[in-house]
Amino acid sequence: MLDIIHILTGTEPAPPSLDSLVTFYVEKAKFDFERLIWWTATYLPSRDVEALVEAYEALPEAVRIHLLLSPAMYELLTTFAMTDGGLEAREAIVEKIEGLVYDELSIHRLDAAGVRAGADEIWSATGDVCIRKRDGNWERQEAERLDSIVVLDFDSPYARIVRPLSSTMRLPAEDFTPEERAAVISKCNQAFAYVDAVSPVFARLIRNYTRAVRFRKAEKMNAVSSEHVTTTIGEIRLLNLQNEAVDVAKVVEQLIHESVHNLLSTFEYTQETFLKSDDDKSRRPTSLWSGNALPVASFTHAIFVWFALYNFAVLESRRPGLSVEERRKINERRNRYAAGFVGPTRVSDHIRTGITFSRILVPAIDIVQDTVLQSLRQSEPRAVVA
Amino acid sequence: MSNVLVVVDDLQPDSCAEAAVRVLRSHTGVEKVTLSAFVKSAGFSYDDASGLLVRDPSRYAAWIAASAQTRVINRVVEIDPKTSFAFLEEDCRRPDVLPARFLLAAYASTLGEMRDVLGRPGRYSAVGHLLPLDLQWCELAKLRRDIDVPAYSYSQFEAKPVDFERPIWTTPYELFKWTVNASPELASLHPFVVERPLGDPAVVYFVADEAAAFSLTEDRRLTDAERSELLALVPSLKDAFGASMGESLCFLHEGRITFASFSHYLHTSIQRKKFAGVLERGLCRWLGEEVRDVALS
Repeated sequence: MLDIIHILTGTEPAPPSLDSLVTFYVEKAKFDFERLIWWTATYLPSRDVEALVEAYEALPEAVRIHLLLSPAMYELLTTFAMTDGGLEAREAIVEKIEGLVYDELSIHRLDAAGVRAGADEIWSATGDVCIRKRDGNWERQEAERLDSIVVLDFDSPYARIVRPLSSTMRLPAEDFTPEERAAVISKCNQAFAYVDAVSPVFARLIRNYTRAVRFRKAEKMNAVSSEHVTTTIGEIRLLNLQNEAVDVAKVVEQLIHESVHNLLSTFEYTQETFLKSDDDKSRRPTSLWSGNALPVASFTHAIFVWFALYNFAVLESRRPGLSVEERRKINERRNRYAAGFVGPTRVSDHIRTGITFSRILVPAIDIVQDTVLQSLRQSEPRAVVA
Repeated sequence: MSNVLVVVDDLQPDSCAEAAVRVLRSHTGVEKVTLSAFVKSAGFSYDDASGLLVRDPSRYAAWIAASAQTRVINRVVEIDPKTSFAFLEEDCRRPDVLPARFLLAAYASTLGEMRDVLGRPGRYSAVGHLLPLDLQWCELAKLRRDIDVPAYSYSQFEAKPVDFERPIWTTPYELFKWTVNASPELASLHPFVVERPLGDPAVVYFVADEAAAFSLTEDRRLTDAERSELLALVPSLKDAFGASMGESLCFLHEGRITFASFSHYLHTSIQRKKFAGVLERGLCRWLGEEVRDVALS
């Protein structure tokens, strides 16, 4: 994990893994997809696998790669691999994957194809493109993007779905006004530009690992928050960004925070999971930062997220020409990010709840803690932080 | 400097600390001091340029020398987020400027250099391990397989259906509310429900090497066997929670003990008539002082 830790310092040059991990991800998703096709051909002979493969191969390579990178595809591949359900449950997933492929083909051809024949509205797997039938013609609509890459999604089914176990998508989606959309997009653009100015490595982290940002308006929830879940790698969900209290600095934090989660989930999917035994989430260590009780997997991710944010704040503090007040604000954030690492205990001592971990995890946690402590001492030798 | 310093958080009160000062007065020079005053006198200050707590080496050396014979009773169970204000010149600072853990770091590093401290830092607290209920049960159960822990269920946003006869919808940080309630609306964002153990509630508490136990049920005294089993729990409590002082709620049923919760505070025990005696004997033994006879009322 040394390369991941290095990426999270935000310093240049970044290790090649920053880019090659994405390539590796696509290869693994392709492997899982092909295995699913084989399984379908073998155990669900009634399904037209040949047509599915033909449709998939008719897609340009760039589209196939985007399909494999989409959070929707990952969610289905992962659910297929993990489901306890029998043939019926698996068939339902296969049907949805067929839908994704035919949706992409339809968009590519600007005409409903295969199992989607008869549909009036078709969305891409990432939620960035929609084609709609109007007066017999198909019209294409594209979402705005951050830095021409990261999809800013207000409207797709993936932005509007209700997920009862999601902290951001539990309640039905409310509609954004045009002014709210513009404000949200502006905040995101400003936030990204700032990240890029401070650390091109973190900007690339966001571009590589976040495929789509789902914006959710739910004022009933009276909260602003961000979320990443491991079942939808590549997706980040931002709740109530239209709220005036959300400033660009907050969006910067959310973009980096959730993109680091996506990087770690990508690492876990392609290399190895941090947790080697199942966690029934009945024992939740308290976060050393927020004081919230977190499932163990979330706790382990959070350590690296705060590490990344700490390093970003340090890079911010090194920019020339900062006023005293700007420096104070950066120091305050840096302190908040460093808080869990300082003190008399080892962070790695807080995850002992009977779960078996990957042997690389505890050393990695110790390294990041020691890196932060050393960095604080370097910035002020008289400081006592442990 | 006084022979004994009782350190408390500036804003989180501790009645046990007050009681400790009272019982020790007749034995030795004792003084209650706030966390911020303690850390400041050890040479720490907030450095605006770096945004960190810094320590002046010569002031620190002088303080360590002056406190070579000083013993510390550490009662900083939790550091209030606003305690850091005590270091900062301007009142308009926001709590984020100096998260409590920075104070904890300064405090813990200073305690580490002192010879005799009752209450050493652990996970989440300067006095030991400060844990939510689910982790308390996990830690205690690791040490004592003969002690039961409550059944419980922890879910995400939506309350999972549970089949408890005596459900208590609560949060994992609520150590003191054990009344049965059937309403998930009382729950936190992530529903947490505990089945109230069968049996009669009792408390066992300890101060250094002294311990005592009592029944919480009116008109029900502990039997000798029950008392001795509860007292036998104390070494495991000290171990599981890294504690030198504290109290534990247990339920006694048909010869078995269910461990319910542990607190570094002694809110329940301090109300007992015998508490002052236990406190005095515990602290005096720790100090190595001769204990005069305390009339046990």
